Amino acid sequence: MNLLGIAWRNIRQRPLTSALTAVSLALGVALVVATLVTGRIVQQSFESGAGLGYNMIVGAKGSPLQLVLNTVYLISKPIENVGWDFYEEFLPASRRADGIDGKYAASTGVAVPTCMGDYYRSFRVVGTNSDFFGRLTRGDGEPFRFASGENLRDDDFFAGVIGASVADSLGLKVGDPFAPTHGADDGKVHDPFHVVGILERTWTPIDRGVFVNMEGFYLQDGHAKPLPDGVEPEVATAATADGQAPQGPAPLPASQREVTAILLETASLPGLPPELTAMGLRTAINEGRDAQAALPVAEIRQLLDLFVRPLELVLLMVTALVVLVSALGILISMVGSSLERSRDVAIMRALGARRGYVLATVLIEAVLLAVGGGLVGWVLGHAIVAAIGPWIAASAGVRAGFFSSAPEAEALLVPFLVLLAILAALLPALAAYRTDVSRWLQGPG
Amino acid sequence: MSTPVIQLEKVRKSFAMPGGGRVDVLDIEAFAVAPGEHLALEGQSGSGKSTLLNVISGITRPDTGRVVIDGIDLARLDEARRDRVRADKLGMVFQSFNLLPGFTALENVLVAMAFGSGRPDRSRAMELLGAVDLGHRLHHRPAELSTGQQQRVAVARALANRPRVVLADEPTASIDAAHQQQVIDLLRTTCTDHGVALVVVTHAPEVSAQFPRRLRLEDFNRAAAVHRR
Repeated sequence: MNLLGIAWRNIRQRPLTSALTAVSLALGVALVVATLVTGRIVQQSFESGAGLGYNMIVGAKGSPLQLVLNTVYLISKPIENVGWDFYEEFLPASRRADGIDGKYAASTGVAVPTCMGDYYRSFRVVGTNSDFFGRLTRGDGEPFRFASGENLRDDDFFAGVIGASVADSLGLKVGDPFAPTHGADDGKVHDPFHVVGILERTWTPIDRGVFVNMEGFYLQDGHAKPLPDGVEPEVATAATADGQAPQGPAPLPASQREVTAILLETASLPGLPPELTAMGLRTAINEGRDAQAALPVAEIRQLLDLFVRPLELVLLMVTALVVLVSALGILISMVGSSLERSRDVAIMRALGARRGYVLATVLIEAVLLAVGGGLVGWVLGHAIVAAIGPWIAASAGVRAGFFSSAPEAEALLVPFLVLLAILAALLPALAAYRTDVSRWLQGPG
Repeated sequence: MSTPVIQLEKVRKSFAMPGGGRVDVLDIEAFAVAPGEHLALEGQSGSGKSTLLNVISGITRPDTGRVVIDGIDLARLDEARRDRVRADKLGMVFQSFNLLPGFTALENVLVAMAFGSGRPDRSRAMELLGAVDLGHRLHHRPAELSTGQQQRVAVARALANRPRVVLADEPTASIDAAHQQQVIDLLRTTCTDHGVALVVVTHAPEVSAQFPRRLRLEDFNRAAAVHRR
């Protein structure tokens, strides 16, 4: 029988006290682990959002962060819209009605327009064109893939592509109709669209999006830009992105079109690194009066630094306090059992146990309780994350399961618990160390 | 007489009184126990029996004098080494037997082995318990054993590290008369079988009467004699 065996016996000797101490610590650790892992998931979700296949967002003047949150994460309200003519400044001559390169066309690789403001149930509706899934890439750099169906076709005005979370949540299949609502999920109901494609899960906010052909989007009530008094609506002549003439209803004239944001993948100009192209383009746009350009990565990093990390820190401090209270539980448990322990310690000392041996037994007992409780708490913490995983996936569009982890912080868990246990058990261990054998085993005489 | 397993020379021990001053508890000119010898130490309450056992076992250091156990002078050793001598050379049987309540009979013996120089030997522990007719109670905790069975576990535990001496402190004080004789018989038989010296401290004359050598503490502890006067 070694030190470990004796410590384990001591724990089993007081099953209720030991179990309560371990459970209290397990709950504390579970909270810490759940907080750490959820924080990591939140961070990853922002970082994965920033890694979409574009490096700049152009939208109405206002908060660049709001522009990024609205465009990338499909949260927050759109700022305002910019005119279609401004969007066309990013298009090459081949895609413009006037056959002249746009002002920013040389610096632009891909420009994808998006229009927002509608909902389908609780999900954001994004009006766009086939370039979104055809020319942009997912967060991991891979092209978008369809679990079923296909990309938007620019001649099918009322086509829609839905993200994996939307499909899972609403049970929509290819061919199913759906009618977005204006401005809010209980707003005025628009004309129905139909699902032509369901995306494979990307674990990005895209999973929560309902993407419709912007030509159909423009034709809904309240979506056309009002014309000034006395100006007659022009006849639509704008070509679609694939250059084919649309069939069915006539498209909205360019003068009445607006876009909420333009997703830009800047061009790599000969002799210039892409970052420099982006910076130059950004400066040029921001100096103008029409719009602003935001770099999603920079905005997200700022958001993380300003809000997410401090919030994470506060949560961590709160949960650390919970763990400290649990450590106090260990101390109280050890002190509480020190009286009954004194007799046992005296017996062991009389049998020849050295003081250091007794001290080590008490410390090991505390470490066993802490590490045992901590491991249970670690499993429980991951179970909590797994339990709320579907909710996180549905609301944030990021993967969260039992094996989601915050490896750097979790690696410190066991050393931290061992240290905590040793600190908590030091006083009772010293009391055991100083146990007066003759006092506890003294017979008459 | 061969080299004693216990030898005390000019041992004095006193304790501070709560109200000031000191009280002498031990004042022994010489005391020795030979290997394999069975000795009863008789003494009344306050005669210094427990202090003497603590001094012999190295738990308490005398103020002056030598305490030699199996040739090892405890005065020259630090506390950790005295602990090791106690674990290796002495077997202890306490009043009320003082088994560890959370441990089974077998584990009580194994724990004692863990404190000695050797490695805990499970088969020897089982053998010792078998020798005191507890082979069928190895995995019972003290609370699940009768008083007599607890006594036997205590005796087996005392022999765990092949000691030279078993010190028994009032082993019959807390049990009824019917069981007293069993305990003494068990101690004497077992110690004889293992060739171990036995020192039984008792205040019961009917117990000490059964030993070939009997000493009254008052006869060789001058401090106890003073108290008596």
